[in-house]
Amino acid sequence: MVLLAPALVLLGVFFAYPVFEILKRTFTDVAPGQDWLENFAWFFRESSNAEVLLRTLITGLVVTASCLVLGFPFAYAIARAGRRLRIVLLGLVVISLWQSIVARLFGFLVILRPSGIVNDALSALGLGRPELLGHTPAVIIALTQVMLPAMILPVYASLTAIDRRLFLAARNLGAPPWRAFTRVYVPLSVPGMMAGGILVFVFALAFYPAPAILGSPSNALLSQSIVLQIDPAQSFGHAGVLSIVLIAATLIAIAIASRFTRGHLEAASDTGTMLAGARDQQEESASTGSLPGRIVLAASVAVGCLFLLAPVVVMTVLSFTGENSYAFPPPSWSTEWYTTFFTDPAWRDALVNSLIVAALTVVASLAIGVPAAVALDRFDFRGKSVVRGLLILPIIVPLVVFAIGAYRVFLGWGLVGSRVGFVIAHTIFALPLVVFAVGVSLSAFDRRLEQAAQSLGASRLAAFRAVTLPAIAPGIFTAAIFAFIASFDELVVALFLSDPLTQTLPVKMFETLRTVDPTVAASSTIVLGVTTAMILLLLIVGGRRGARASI
Amino acid sequence: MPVPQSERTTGASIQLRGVTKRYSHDGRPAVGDVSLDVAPGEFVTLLGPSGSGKSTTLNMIVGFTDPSEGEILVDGRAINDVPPHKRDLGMVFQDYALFPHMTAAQNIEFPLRYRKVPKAERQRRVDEALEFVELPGYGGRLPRDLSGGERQRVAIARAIVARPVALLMDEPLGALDKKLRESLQVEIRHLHQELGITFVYVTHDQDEALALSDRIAVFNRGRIEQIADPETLYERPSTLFVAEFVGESNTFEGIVRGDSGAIRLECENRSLGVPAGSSLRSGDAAALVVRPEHVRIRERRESDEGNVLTGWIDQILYLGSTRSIEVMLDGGGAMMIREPAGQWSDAEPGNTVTVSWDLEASILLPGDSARGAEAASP
Repeated sequence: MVLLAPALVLLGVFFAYPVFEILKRTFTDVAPGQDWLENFAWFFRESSNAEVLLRTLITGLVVTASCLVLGFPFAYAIARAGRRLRIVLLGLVVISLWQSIVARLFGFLVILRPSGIVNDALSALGLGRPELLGHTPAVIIALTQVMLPAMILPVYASLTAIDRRLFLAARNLGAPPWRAFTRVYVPLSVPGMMAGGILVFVFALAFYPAPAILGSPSNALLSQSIVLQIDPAQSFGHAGVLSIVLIAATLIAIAIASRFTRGHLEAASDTGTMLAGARDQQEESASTGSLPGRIVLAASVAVGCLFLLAPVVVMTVLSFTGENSYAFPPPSWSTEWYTTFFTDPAWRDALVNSLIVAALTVVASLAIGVPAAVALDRFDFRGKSVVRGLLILPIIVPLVVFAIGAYRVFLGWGLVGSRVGFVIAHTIFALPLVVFAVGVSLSAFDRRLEQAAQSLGASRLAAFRAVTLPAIAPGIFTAAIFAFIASFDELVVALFLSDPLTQTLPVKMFETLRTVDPTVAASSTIVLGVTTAMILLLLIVGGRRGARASI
Repeated sequence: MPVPQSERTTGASIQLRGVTKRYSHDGRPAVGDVSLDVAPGEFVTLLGPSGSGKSTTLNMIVGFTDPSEGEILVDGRAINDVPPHKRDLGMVFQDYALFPHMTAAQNIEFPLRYRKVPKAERQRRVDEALEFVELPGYGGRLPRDLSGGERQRVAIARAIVARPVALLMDEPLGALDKKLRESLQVEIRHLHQELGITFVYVTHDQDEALALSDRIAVFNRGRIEQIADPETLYERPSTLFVAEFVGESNTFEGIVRGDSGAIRLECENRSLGVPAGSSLRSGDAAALVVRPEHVRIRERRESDEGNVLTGWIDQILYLGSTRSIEVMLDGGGAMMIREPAGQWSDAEPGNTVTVSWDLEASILLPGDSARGAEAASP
């Protein structure tokens, strides 16, 4: 299969092999004379491992629960809101989903520090100044903010799929508004909650940057422990066994959830359709719900918006501080940190490097991913489901595991500290996004148009170029944006593939973690600006295309 | 719709020889052993219920589906291995399949681009085609800005602009309302006369088939039941399926009894006379078909001859140009009778009546063995 070959080679050589290498070392990295299961014995012997595992699972559950508590009323409020408000809120959520995560984590670094605004507020309330940074609550808060959109969108999707007349029927049959709500909307949106819950939980389990930036080694999560086994411990065997535990936890969670969410994940992640739907939906009469109900909704929207915007606003404001400190609000103003950012070669080179890597990642992942998506859509062949599974593997296997595997293997191939290395690694996890986005638009495409073109004299290839390509262009555009952001905002793999001379912007920001340097705020603002602009572009262009394609 | 003399062609002949399409090795083929000869310039309709294989057959002619067995010939040349874009057959799709990102003019120009027609001439022919389908000045519009009927005309213009040797149409009127459908039927008939090329038309609508076609091939369960001109098909259907699918019918099923020359159809509750000249023999399962317009109805009397059944009028449906009378027969069963306006009997619901018909107006057909088996099962 010519169309699939590049994708399979890329994944086989640069993804499957490195991950396999790490897993293999679990069994081979043992001292001479020791049992091949020695690393597993170590996992159970060291009580700190159980602690880390437990802490990781609890963190995942708490983040999931927090997202649900915050996200459900928010999603319901969006579904019930008037047309204009709905577009604004949904836009905010979609932008938050794709906005730079690294920049937002740095935002929380500023917000949650001992003399930050959260502690100012707590001490004003007479609650003292608890130490948040370096502890699990800080990680949970940040992860909740990062993952909230991933909960809201699927829940919103399932809420809007509910026939409003069911609620009216319940009212007509004698249920008071509150009962009608809990008996109709809540049970029927369970699939959306499950889909959102699994996304949040799996992501929270494995996401390294949050604990790395806001936590501490003494309160490590699993992903963090894996990294600590490599740097400084250089123990690939121990890292391997922890990786296996993390992968197992992820797979178990997915297996449990997929029993309940068949099909809903895909439906929920099609944000383009959702936004188009929000635009087209008719205004409904506002006479919904009781006064207390509406107050609860309004409050949840206010809290949700505040939460989603806080790190972004704080970082943007702070980037114009006149002091060399993270004092917030800034006592004086200047643009010197932007000057530093654009004049200091280290920052500038990192930015240029990131932009080049992201652009090349877009090109590479489209060149490899679009043909793969076409092959999966058009042809039936043996092992198709295996290929499909392999293509989404890079977003299921925890990034940390791939990162240390890539570090290990790429080092030998001279790909550490080179742009080629970054591009290869980023292309691997941009690939599933491309295959998915292009696949969605291909499956929505009416193939008879291609047949019509053929009956009018166009060869297969000509028909694809003249008819299919223009029709799936919005999907390809979406894929390009996803791929760009995935690369531009990527920290974990880049951390391992960087050397002091060749860094990406997130890595450079990460390096300033232990010092106070408001240039990070300027950098975060720029990264946020770039990612937000990308998503806005997608929403605006996609919106126009959507209207046009809906003939 | 005037056509320049130079554009008249006779069209190509299309032949299907034992064409079969199997999607799996076991089970009934989607299309089984279909043979069909379409003469140059002829209008042939493939008629049948959904899933009967008519669209699959059309797709094999145009080249989107490969036959498992058999041969397809255009003007005597086998085209099984010719890719769709080289078959030179125009096709009008169900729901038109207009390219949504191209204007009407760009849609129509599309086939000219692939036939290396010079740009200046392309422009001229697009304008001509728009004129031909009576949409001059509509070239700049996108499909979504056109009405259903207009899209249909653009689809036709696009299919014929490159002067194909035959035009294939797959339920082209399916998406339109009744009124528009009827006026477009007339236009399609005109189109066929003006262009003079071969038409192969697919529909599940028997009225449309009867109105348009030179000949009709009736499809059932992947096979052709009968190929005939509309009148023969209606007056002398060769199978019970055709009789019931084309037009309305009253059907009595039973077993043939009696000697040659004097056979009758013995049904469960009655014995019926049959038209002369049947080749069916005593003991054969058979069905007697009577068209509703051939049945007479009157107040019950004693001296009726021929096939006379008694019953009472259940209801009368007023349909404008005709009315339809439902008679519940004594001994079970029902009959439908159609009376043209101006020749109404004085029948009223509830009346006890006799119904009768001339033997020669009824049709005796072999019983539907498949249906017999179904009826026998509990």
